[in-house]
Order: sequence, then C-alpha cells, then structure tokens
Amino acid sequence: MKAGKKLSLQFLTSLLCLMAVFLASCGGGNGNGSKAPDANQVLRFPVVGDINSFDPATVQDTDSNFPIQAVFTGLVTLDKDLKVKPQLAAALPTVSSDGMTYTFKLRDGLKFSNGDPLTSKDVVYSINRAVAKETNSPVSYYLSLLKDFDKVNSGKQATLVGDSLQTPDANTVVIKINKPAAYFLETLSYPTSYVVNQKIVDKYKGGKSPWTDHLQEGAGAGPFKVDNYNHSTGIKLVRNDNYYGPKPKLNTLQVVFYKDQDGMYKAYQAKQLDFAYVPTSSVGDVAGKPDYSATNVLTIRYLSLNYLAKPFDNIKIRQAFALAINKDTIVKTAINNAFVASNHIIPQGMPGYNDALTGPEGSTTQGDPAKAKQLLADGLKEEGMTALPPLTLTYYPREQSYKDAMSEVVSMWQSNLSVKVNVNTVARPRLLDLENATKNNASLTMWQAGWNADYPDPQDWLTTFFDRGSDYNQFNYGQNNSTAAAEQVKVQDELRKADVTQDQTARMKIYNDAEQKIINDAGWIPLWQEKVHSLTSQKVHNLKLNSQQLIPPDDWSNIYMSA
Amino acid sequence: MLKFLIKRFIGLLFVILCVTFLTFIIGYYAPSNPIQIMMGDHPNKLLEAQLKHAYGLDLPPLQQYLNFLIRLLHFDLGTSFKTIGRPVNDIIGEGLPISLELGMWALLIQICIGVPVGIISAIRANSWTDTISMGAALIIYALPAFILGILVQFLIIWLDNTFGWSWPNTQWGTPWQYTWTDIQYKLAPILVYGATGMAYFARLARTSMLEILRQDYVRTARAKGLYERAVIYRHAFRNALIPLITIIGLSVGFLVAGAFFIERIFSIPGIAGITLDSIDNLDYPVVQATTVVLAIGVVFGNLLSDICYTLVDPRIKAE
Repeated sequence: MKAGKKLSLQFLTSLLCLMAVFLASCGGGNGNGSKAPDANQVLRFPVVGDINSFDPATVQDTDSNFPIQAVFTGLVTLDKDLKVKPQLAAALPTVSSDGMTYTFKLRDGLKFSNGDPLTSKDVVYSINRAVAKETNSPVSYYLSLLKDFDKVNSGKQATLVGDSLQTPDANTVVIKINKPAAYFLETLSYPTSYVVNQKIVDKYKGGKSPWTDHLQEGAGAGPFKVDNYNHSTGIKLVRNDNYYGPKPKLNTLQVVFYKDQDGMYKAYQAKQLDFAYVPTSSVGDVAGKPDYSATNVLTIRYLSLNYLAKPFDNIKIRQAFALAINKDTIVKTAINNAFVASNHIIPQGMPGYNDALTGPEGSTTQGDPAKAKQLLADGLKEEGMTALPPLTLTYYPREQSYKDAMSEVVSMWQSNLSVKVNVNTVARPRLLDLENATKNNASLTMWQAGWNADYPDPQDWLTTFFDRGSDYNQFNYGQNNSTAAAEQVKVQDELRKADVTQDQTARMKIYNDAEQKIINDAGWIPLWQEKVHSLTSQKVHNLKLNSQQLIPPDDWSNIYMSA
Repeated sequence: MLKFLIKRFIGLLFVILCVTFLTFIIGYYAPSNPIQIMMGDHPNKLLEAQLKHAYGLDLPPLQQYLNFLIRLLHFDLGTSFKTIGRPVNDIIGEGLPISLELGMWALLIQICIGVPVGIISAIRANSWTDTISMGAALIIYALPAFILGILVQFLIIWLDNTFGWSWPNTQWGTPWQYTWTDIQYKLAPILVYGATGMAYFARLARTSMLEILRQDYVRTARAKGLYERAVIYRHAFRNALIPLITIIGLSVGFLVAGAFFIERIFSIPGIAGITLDSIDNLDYPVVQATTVVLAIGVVFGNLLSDICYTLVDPRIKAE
C-alpha cells in the first residue's frame, strides 16, 4: 500500500510538471509572405453569435452589424475615419436651401448579388420598411428625422413612399426630413437605411423561417454575398462579383460564431481564427506582440450627477466631486490600462473631438484633490450646509474591473473630500429604468453609465444628452433651479444652432465650445474611453477596424491573405 | 406496466406544467425588461410600448402564460426576442442534437470506463491499482469541469504551436458526423465531460461493489467453493449495479443540462449554452423552451431508471 501511494505521488508530480511546462510554453508566431492563391483567400473572423439579426432594419449590436455591413450597403456609408462617403449614391446628395430635402443620384448599373437590378424603388422600399410599424424595428429611431416618420412608425399612415421618400426616376432618390439637420447623412449611414431585395423579403413573408435565412438567394448589394448561414456555427460569405465597387481580394469571409471573447481568444491561439478580440483581463499578456493592436472605440463611461438632487444643484460641489477623482489611477489599477482615461464627452476618433478640452477648472485626467476640497468647502458654505446628505452611487457592474473602478472612485471621494458615498449595484435593465424615471425629479442622485455612438456626429453626444426635453437628459441639465441653469440653457441654444449649421468647421467649433462648458459645469464626469484589443494573424494584410469595429465596404479590396 | 407508464406520463405533464409556470413567474417578476435590452440604451416609451404589444408582453400575466401553453400544445414554442423573429423550435432543433451527442458519448465513457475501474478497484481493494485509480479519480472528480476544460484547451494550444498542428480547441463540427475534422472538434470536450463523470462513476461503483462483497451471501458463495470469477460476476456484480442504475438513469436525464460549463468553455452551440445565453439576454421564449426540454429529459431519465430497476432486480415491480 505504501509503495502504491509513493508511485501515485510520483506520477502526480510528473503530471503537474508536464502541465506547467505546457502552460509556460503557450504562444507562437506567424509567418509572412506573398499573396496566397485565390482558393486560400479565406479570412476567419469571429463574432458573438448566433447574431441577433441579419436584417439591416432591425440590427442593434456590433456583432450583427459586422456581417450586415459586408452583405448590404446603403446610399452612404462611413469610411475608415468615420467620414460619410457615397456608396450606392454616385456622389453626396444635393441639399435644398432650407436643408430639408436631399436628392441622391444612384450609380449606374447597380445590381443585387443575384444580378437583379437595384433601382431607386429598392432604396425607398428598404427605408420605408425599416420605419413601418409591422417591421417592429427596435432601431427605427435612426430614421426619425424623416418627414412623417411618427405617422408611419405608429401605423397611422401606410407608407413614406411618395411622401418623404420619392423616386422621380429609377436613378434618383429624394428624401425629405422634418427639420434641418446637418447630421442627417450620418444617421443615414446606419444599416436601417441599407437596401434589401424586396423580392426575397416578400417571398418569405409569413413563412416558416424569416427571409434572412434565405440570403443566399441574393438579398444584398455589398462586397460579399451569403453562401451559407448556419445559426450554430457561423456565416460563410463569398465575394460578390456583382458588387459595384472595388471587389474584395478575399474569396471567402468566414464569420465564425463564439459565445464570448474568451472563446475567440482561445480559438485564435489554437489557430482556428485569423482575428480575435482580446478579453480585457488578457490584454497584459499580449500587448506589444506583433499581432496585437488596439483601437479606440466610440464609447465613454461617465458619472451623472442629478441637478435636481441636493447637493448637486451646486456647481462647486459638482466640480469638487469631479476633481477628486484621479482617472489615470483608476484606469491603471482597476482597468489594467485596457482603456484610456478621459475628460471628454465626444470620444477620440469622432469628428468634433476637441484635443484642447480640459476638465473642470482646467484640470487634467489626474484631477486636483486640493482644489476639490476647497470647492466642496465653498459649495457647502453657499448652501448653508455643514455636511452632505447621505449619497448613493448606483451602477451596473458589467465586469469585475467596473466594480474595482467604482470602489476606487468612492474611495477617492472618501480620502480627498471626506465624503462617504454608498454603492448600489443593479442589473442593467434596472439601471435603465431608474435613469428613465429620474427625469424631472431627484429619485436617482448619482449613477454611472456609458454611451456608444449611434453615428459619428457630436449631435449624438451633446444634443442627445444635454438638450432640453431630451429623453436622455435624465440628469436634468438646464431643467433645474441651480445657479448655473441660465448658463445651461444658453448652451442648449448653442447646441440647437450647431445641429442645423451646414458649415462643418463652424459647426464643430460650436460643439467644442458647448462641450467645454458642459464639462466645466460637471454635466457629466467622464471616466474613460473604451478600446478594443485584438490579435490579427500575420498572414492577414491591411485589416483595420474603424472606431465602430467595422470594415468599410470598399476597404475589403485591400485585405488579403499571404501564403 | 402500461398503467405504470400512463401514471408516469401524467406525472410528466404535471412536472412540465409546474416547471413552465415557475419559469414564467420568475421571468415575469424579474426586475428586467427584454424589450429594453432589444432597444439598447435608447429610452423611447412609444417604441417600447409598440414592441411590448408586438411580442404580447402587454397582456395580463395569466393570459401570457395561457398563450404559451396553447402554443406548446401545438408544438409551437414562439419566436425568440434576441435573435429577432427566429422560431424557438429552430433554435432548440439545432442545439439539442449537439448536446445529446456530447452527452451520449460522455455518458458512454463514464459508464464503460468508470464502472469497470470502480469494480476492479473494489476487487483489488487497498492494492496499488486501487490507490492509483481511486487517487486519479478523486483528483479528476475534485477538479471542476471548467478547470479541466481550460487546462485541456491550453494543452491543445501548446501542441498546436509546438508541433504546428491545427487541432481546434473550440466549436463542435457537424453534429453526428465523424470525419477526421469532426473528431478533432469533438474529442476534447467529450473526453473532459466524460472524465469528470467517469471519476464519479468509478468511485460509486467501487463503494457499491465493496459493500456487496462484504455481504453474507457472497461469503456463502465463496464458502461453497465457487470460482472467484463466478462469485464476482454472477453474485456480486449484478447486485452492485442496482444503485448505479439509479445514477445512470438520472444521468441520462441530466445529459443535456449537465453540459453547461463544457459547452460554454468549448464554445459548443448546444442547448445548455443556448439556455445560458437566453437567461443572459432575458430571452424568455427560449428560456421557457429549454426548461421544458430539460424537464422532459429529467423525467424520462427517472422513468428509465425505474424500468431498469425492474430488469436488474426482479423483486421490484413496475407499479
């Protein structure tokens, strides 16, 4: 028996050593070389799947958007720098003098991937379909600038075609909007206005399976067409030879489904993929490797202080809370430097990003604890208070790093301001409910949230959140009784002016000015801008995601695999 | 026997009714809203009301539940909230064969290796064979499936990078097909799932066999001069199987549900993974459907176990 035990222990020790060697040896390299033959031009790209939707009219998430952007296109799309670019349209539209009518001329000879001709009727059909009540699109609001959108979206009017969507001829599309909006083309770059083949949609209407299960019949006009869509494993896309633009060098784009980023990361390490996102916790393991890259994405995490809740109706107390936070430390210790500390509302990578913007009182992302303490004392004096009321920070702990970050924020308030703030963690839908319910009242005092750009225009950040009456202005900016309210209303007027200003340089200048004023007022306390970290096999050339984690349609013509 | 089966079928209906009702109640009163998830961070009361109406979520709770039951009677499980407009029947239909395949192979490994190892250990109790096999079984059993799974994935990565292989460490291949590529996909998850259960079966078989070997009738069989092989296989083994059959029957029921970790780690698109995803996304039609499928599995597992009892032990009647 003793001998048996000894043998067993030796065996176990050997096994563990072997495992340790295996683990320590994980890693590897990739080759490089000339362009591979066409049959080997296969890129394996992962998304979290099964995707929520393959219908451009209903797509809401990045993972679904990736294959949609490869298969469908619209009048305009965004290029790698997020600039609006004509796509099905031959050029950017002519705009009427009142800024409310846009006329697009289509390229000649447009075709769907199955060879069906694509005309102006297909364009207006697709846009109308996304708005129509029966489509039940959760993202129809992207088209809410269209004249009579509300009527059609609620079912009170049958169609927008012939009304705000007109087709004077097969090559011309006229779109009317309900107010001048210099950001209209940006909203039009979202897939809700991408063109789908009515023939395929109608063929499977009311059928056993949705039309998106039959995309191989040719429903889009993008650089790729669907060869096979398996809801369990992924989507095989192949080059669309009817694509009007420069054709992809890739023969096949295999969109592979994974449950999460961990799965993708491990699959990439086992050479099952040519690209993978890196989970935040693993960024330190891969940063600096030749196949590693990071891209700023248009997501800002921020703190909101409710202007209707005491003591945040006082500007000095709000500023004190902002300056007491050292964002650099939080990003370094809690986020493992996976994101970038930020004082901005408009994230880096967006048109309108203001490089010269500072935090309140000219502060940096390191904050200013001494000034914060002084501001708090002054604020309390102005309010006739000796101590702050009990405060609670509400947030949704999406991942452990968020919990760590919020613990640090609370700890900084405690150490720099001697203020104890309680923490309340809630599920994401619950937080959304609480945020929505706090508009025009003080039911929620302070919370942490995030915003990801719908379309690359400052309007989507500034007017959306800070305009009077906006559903997103839940912290009651400009709609409160604080001493700063009058100044806030002026900022809101500035934003409205910028929204309709056609001169883009002048427009961005107004937004920049408004953003700085909002930050000085601690309308938001931005914490960090998110990044995506990725690994790309060295056999893949020229693959670069833009800040929306997408590849513009024409950029596929640059991407190829080497042998 | 027929009466017994009818009784069990009625019991199955009752179980499904209870399980679906509880799942519905939990979903209905959960502080979450699937429509908000569908809409992202965009507050829009009008659109929210419109979508709630479209998905029947504005109906009174009892009406919603009754609608679900009526659909269920027509074998219609509704449409998914998450994968917009997709029939839940299709989602289950794609995930279930994969989970069944994974579970079946894993259970075969568990029984075909675990039980003999346990029996041999019991026969050679306290020998080095017993110590090694039970020690290894204890380690594997103590290791959570997800740790073992991740270790195996690391091992595959190392092998791929060291020897230039392209052995996959995620995904599943084509269900119920066994080309070399399919086997490469399936081997690791099946072995990991099989190993964790195998250790359990081995330990259980050993304990059961040891207990039987100490019984008077075994001593009597030996005393009357029977060959050891006859004592073991004719007298002890069959009796040692009785507790094992209960566990095997229940394991059949949990074949699918038991693979939650394995499916998540290896990114296998089976029904266990679908269940977890649907819970994450508040995709209630899918949660309801997977719950029904898993409940049916467990009830049938129990039934199978009871029927097997009667086959192994003639003293037990199926009544």
